[in-house]
Amino acid sequence: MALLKIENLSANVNGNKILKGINLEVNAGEIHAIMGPNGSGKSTLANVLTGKDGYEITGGTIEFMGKNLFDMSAEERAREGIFLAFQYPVEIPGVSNANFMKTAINEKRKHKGLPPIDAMEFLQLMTEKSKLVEIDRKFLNRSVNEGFSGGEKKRNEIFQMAMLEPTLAILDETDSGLDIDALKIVANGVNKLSKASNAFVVITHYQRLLDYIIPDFVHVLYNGRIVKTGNKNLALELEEKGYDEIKQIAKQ
Amino acid sequence: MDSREIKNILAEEFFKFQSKLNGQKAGQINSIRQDAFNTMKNLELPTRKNESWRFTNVSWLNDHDFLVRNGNPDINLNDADIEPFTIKDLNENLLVFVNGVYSEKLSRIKYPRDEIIIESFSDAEKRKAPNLIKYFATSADYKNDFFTAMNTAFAKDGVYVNVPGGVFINEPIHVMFISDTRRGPVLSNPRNLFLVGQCSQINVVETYHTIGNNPAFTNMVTEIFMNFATHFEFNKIQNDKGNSYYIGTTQVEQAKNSVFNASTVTMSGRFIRNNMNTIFREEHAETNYNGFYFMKNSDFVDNHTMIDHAVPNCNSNEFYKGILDESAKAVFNGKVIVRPNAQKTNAYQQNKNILLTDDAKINTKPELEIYADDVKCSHGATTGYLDKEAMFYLRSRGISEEMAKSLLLNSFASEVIEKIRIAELRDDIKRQVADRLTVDDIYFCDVLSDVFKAAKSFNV
Repeated sequence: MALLKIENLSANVNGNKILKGINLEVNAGEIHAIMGPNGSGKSTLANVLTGKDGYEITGGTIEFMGKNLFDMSAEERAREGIFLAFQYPVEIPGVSNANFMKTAINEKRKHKGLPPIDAMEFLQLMTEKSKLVEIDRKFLNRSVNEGFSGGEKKRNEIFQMAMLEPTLAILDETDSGLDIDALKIVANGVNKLSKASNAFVVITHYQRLLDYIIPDFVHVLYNGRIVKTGNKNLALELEEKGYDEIKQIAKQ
Repeated sequence: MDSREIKNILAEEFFKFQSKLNGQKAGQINSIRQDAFNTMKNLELPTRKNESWRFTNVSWLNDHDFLVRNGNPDINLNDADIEPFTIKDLNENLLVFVNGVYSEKLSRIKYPRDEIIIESFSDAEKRKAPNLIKYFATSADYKNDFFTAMNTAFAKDGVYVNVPGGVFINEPIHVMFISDTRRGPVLSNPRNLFLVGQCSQINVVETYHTIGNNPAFTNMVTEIFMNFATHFEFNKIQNDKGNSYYIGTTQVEQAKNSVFNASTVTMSGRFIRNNMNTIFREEHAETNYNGFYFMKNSDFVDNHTMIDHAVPNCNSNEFYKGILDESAKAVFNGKVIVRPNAQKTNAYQQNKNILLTDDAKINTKPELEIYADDVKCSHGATTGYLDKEAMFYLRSRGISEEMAKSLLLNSFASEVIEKIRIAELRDDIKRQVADRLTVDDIYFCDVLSDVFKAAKSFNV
């Protein structure tokens, strides 16, 4: 059974057709990259998958581990194992990272019928996972993303991902606004978390990130449809030739 | 009942009150009472046509037969009855008043009446305390305000504090006003006077509570006189029942280098009007008003502030935040006057609100009158619903809508609550806020209290 199965998905935003029939299957152990020019619908796809308000589904189905995703609220999807690394992580003054994560982990544990996490266990988990993304432990007591630099925010996304251990992680342009060192840290985090039982969908505008996170599949999203699918070489090809050729194909 | 009928009832009450005064009848205090009564007769009850009562309707006065009930009012009360109203772990001087009358039985004053005077207004009047006579009703203006005139006419009891110079009173003074309505609706007019000597510091907590299910109307006036380089922490905590009505005026006079910090926290009550007024009499003084209100049901709170920069080089800072749920309503009106000679004034004002429902309502208004040119003044007001982006961010990590809301509201509140300087009181308020926010759930029982710790370590 596929982890994620999207069939003929169409979605509108403010009455505009953004997604126009997407088909995508993601299996456990795979890394998929979705590339495409601005405005092709990449972020819309990510937001539809995570259950954000303001997106009208006009057709198609999404199954996550055999369950209809549309039957689940955003928080239920997260507890079931879907994670979105935000393109623009939100600042939440007054809520500490530590508390944020403790609440999220306990929501998940409650959902699964497990007891609340032990305080020591939680502390150890935080220490371990913060090393993975090279986040200073001081950050964990600070308000979520408040006053963080762009790179720190993105690293915090990967940290949260490491803490919550999702089955399906979607990275929405996590590479945007990152310098090369931060990019390596982020990619390294993803590679360490990748295993046979989980999958990643990496949304990116540029090939750069894919030098460090090697995808099994590369899909090109253009004008609300996946117009081409290939292996990692497709990303290199796009980097070289740009999206013009794709746009030509799509027009025909 | 109309305004005239209410005044007739008050007149009857006043004559009853006067007949019981005995020895104090001839004193100077009583001539002020009589003057205030005569003034009140000629003043109109405020209506919505009155600018400072535009959004604040006192028509509930017509609906209840509020009476002054002050013959042995504490007879049916003991320590266990007031225990729920005390602040946990607070090592305080506790002064309890029942239906406006001092209860020696329920109070605990740590200082023998020596240099530092902490006693009831009535005791101070009986012994003709010179400073009581000198300062009483010299700051709170009863000539133009109906409720202040009414309070002054009926002023009989409350707290009287006279601190000499150079004293730091470590144990907060908790002044607790109880309306015992089990025998019928209660009107009380508590009157407080604080005199703080040079370089002294005091911490005060003012609360009121209603026992029984009949309505209670507490009409309070507090006058505070701050000498050179004094420091005053004033905390007004309002968490009373749906049958309580409250109008209170706090009038502060500040001398050179004095600092007045006020925290007004309103959690519940049917009707609450807080008038908080500061006048700077000398330069280099500072006043900080912090306010937090978190109302639901159809509760109502009105914070009317007035800061008079009468002299140069003073600072004022007002920071009020509110959360309004269900069909609660609130008013914030911040008046600042900067007089023509008050150069180098800093006056800041902020009011932020979160509305949780479409029925909740806030009327917020800055009122700045600036007659000096070399000043820094600012004001800002925001009103909104919960931040949708933040809500989604939390939910996308598996956090329920209810819990996400609790986290965000708790952090919104913490910014003002952290400014309360009395640690035990601050913890108590945090608990009250957390109690209102969290669902009873072992998974999240410690989350909101932790939030405050984190917020605190972040601020350091």
